[in-house]
Amino acid sequence: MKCEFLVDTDTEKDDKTPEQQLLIKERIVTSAHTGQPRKDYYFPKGTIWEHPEAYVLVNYGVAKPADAECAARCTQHSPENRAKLEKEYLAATLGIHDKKDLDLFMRDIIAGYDNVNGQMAYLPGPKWDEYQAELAAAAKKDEGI
Amino acid sequence: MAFVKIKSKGVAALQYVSAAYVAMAGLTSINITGEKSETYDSTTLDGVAYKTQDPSGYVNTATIKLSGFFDPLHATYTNFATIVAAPAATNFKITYTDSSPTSVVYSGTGFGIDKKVEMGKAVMADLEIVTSGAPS
Repeated sequence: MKCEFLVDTDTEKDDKTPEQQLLIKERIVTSAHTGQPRKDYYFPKGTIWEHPEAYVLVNYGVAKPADAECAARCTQHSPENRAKLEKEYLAATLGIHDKKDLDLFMRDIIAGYDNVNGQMAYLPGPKWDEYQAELAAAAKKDEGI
Repeated sequence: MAFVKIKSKGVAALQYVSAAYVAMAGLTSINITGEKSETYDSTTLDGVAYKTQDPSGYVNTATIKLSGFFDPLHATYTNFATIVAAPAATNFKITYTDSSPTSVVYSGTGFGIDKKVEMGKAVMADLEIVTSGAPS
């Protein structure tokens, strides 16, 4: 059965056939264990992956069904719940576990975390400015201005 | 190289499932403990008062302990429960939030899961992963 990855998804190279290896790309990361560069592999977003248990990846929200077999086997969700699952998966890949931050992410207020001059900061999302305006308005109201 | 403090916010743990690394959801802590070089007592009768410890040449492997909000229906927990019941060597990757990016891969071979229900708190789970071999 087949699924399609919705985001760049890390993988290994050694467990794949030569044909499967053509699907993956390579990048250089740093090993946190040795401090040395090492090769990392990933499926680019949009890759169609054929695997007997591809439906499991769909259940995580990292992929969507790419054939009828996968669509039938995966957990059935309403379109709204499916979209929520996929967005929650994206949050997990970004390391967003804090409940408040997850809420901000799900509402498109933040797009993740950014490292600004060594300080962790929110990466503004599409509704960041709107949210900031709401906070400013609420603050003014509290002050009785 | 300048010393960099890595923020915990944004660190992710990923399990290798269906030939892809998938991020585990709802985690509140990641502990990687126990990686330690093994020593043996090499004290001899004719030695000084202070005992001596020599390296055995072996290294005890790390145990990864993950804690998080428990959702029995989420794939994070259904897939982990699968390998608890039918253990198979499974890679886990931890990615950090520095600019490199930095990550480390462990081969997990033993798995455990505990759940906790307490008044006034969400239901939590503790996952344990016994690793084998050197991380990469």
